[in-house]
Amino acid sequence: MTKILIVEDNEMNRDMLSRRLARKGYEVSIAVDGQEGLDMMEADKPDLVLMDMGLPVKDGWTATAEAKSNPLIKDIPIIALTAHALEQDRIKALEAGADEFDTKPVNLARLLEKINSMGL
Amino acid sequence: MLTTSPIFPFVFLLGLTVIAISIALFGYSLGVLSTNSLSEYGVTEELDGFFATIIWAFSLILDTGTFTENLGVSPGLLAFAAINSVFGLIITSAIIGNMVNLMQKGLDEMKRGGISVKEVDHLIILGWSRNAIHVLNVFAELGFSKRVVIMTPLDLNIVRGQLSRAKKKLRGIKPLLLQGRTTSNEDLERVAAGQASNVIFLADESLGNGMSQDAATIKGMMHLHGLIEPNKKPSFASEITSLSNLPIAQTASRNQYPIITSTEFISKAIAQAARYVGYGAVYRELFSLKNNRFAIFNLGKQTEGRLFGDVAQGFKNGIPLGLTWLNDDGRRVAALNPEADFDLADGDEIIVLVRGSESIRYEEVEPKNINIGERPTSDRSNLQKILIIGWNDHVPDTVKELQAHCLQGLSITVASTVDPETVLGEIRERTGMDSGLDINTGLFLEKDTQALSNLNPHQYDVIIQMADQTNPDFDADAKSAINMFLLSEAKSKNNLKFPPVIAEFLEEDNIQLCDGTPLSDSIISPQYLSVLLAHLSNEPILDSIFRELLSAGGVEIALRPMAQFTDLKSIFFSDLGIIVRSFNETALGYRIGGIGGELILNPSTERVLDLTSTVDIVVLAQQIYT
Repeated sequence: MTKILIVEDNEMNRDMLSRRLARKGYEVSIAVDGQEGLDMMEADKPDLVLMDMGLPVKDGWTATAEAKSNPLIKDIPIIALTAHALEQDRIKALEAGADEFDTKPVNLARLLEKINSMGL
Repeated sequence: MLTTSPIFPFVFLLGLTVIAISIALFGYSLGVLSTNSLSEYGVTEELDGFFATIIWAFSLILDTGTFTENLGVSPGLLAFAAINSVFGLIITSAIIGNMVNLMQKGLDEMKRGGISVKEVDHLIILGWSRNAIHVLNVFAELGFSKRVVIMTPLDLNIVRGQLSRAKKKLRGIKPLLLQGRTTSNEDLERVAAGQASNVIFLADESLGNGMSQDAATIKGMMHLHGLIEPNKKPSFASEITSLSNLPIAQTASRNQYPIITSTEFISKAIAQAARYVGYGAVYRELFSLKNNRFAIFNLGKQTEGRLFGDVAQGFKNGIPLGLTWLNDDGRRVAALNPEADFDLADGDEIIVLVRGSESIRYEEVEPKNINIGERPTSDRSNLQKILIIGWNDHVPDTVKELQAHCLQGLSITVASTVDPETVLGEIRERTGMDSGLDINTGLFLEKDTQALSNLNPHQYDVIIQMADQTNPDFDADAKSAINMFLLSEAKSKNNLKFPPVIAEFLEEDNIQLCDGTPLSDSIISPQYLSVLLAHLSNEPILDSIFRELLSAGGVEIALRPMAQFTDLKSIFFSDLGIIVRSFNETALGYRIGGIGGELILNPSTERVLDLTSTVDIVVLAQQIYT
């Protein structure tokens, strides 16, 4: 079963997305801030990370950049999720090292397409 | 001491009676009470002499006219009768006095609030503050008919005074007042807390600063938890003043009861009103229990695999806002504004905004699909320069909230009578201020009528007036009203575009003082909190919904121009709802005529909207930042 780590501080967004992915057959785990996300990436080695960008403790851009510079987890694909819907946000996320970018509210069909296109 | 003992009157009465009887017996034993003498009073030998004497003695006790009658009895007997009559008078007056005392004592006790109540299914308000009147007002508007009990350590005469002034607002509600500590197990037992249907814990104004208030609330909640009987679980909502105390309060309530943090909710509401002018009015309407209520609806049939957007079309007199379900870990979860293609599972329940006291009407319908293609670009709120006038506990959290809604380049000026260094220190301490926020503080002198003009109000994107209670001699709302007039003057000095002005008020009636001023929107903080508390005490699951509605980074209420959804000239509200949902938003109502215009929330689904005038749609939406 494909393991997806959701890094999201907003409880409602977390609950909704994790439920929808779990019902699609993914094994979902949760982290609530950037640092916890990095720790769980190292510990659980998920197949994919859905990373919110506006996170407490360590924001998503920093966490993504650190993940991509850590040899232990740098190969785990990261999809950046953000409510900041501007082109510069997409560029900023990709520059931080994210493999893909999507906006919130999440369009599940579109997100699943992106996940599938990563071969997961 | 005996004289202050509550049993003293009884001991005294008993003593007098014993003395009277003793004298009678003494007289009897000396032969004063001869058979002949007694027979004058109808006491015959047929009775046992001892008891007959006692009866006779008591008959004299109540017969003060004995002395005036020529009974032909011996002088000794007459003297004895005289003594007995005197004692009789004393005893009778003592009995009457004692009865009056008992009644007076009962009344005093009731006035002082020291009584115990024997109620069940009552509403208890623990603690007293300005919010209490608003809470009672909400229940009065709902036609609440059960007994209301208020307990506070405050002098009850103060409470009575405030209740009396608000009499008109509290139609039909006559609270029973008790004085007591909300931290005392005994006092909580006195209000029958374990038997209540609703309990609302307020931060008591007599307990000083926020920490003392919160400590009292937390301790009280721990006691309450132990008092509640397993088969009796009252709806409970609680207010604490500081967000930092929330985790402890949640632990104290065993995470079972909703807790509102006043500074958090007020500051979030103010920040939202600054971002969307008119938001204050939307919230007043949305949370008005009289007009709207949040209900949980069980579809009652197989829901597995059905889509939220399809199910939503079946509600005939309400707006489905989201859903709630039990998570795998047994936690009840609420989700607002789910996507139209969100697939339901068995057991999911729908959160519906219903008009007034109507019951929900739901019918299975063939889902309609209205596709209007791409949505035009929206105008997003982009606040960069904000002026905050005045100081209170909500300012640091408001700054924090405004910062959370803005990515970068935010500049906030706080002008108040408080020392600028203190202001800066508190904001820094409470918000953990970091880069990206530029805070300026300035001393704002109340008596200087030029002070507001000197701040160049035109240059800001929005102006926020806080309810400033730093000077107890100067009413906060009066101060705000004066500032609104000073802003009017500043506005009239040149033709530049003037920013919207949001003000926090303590009393709704005071808003009308600002007619004709640049005031654009207002938050009445005590009313706002009270309504939330009243909602929560009825439906605890709303806790996460309210928090979500107001937080940065989740779902929010927004006002969008109609043109973003349709260019039709008229449309059914139900069809508009389908269009709005196709953009992953939920239509709650509409506003005609821009800021300050007519606001209609939760209209009938069959209402036809005339779109010839300026119409904004009130929606639930995922926050989009710029």
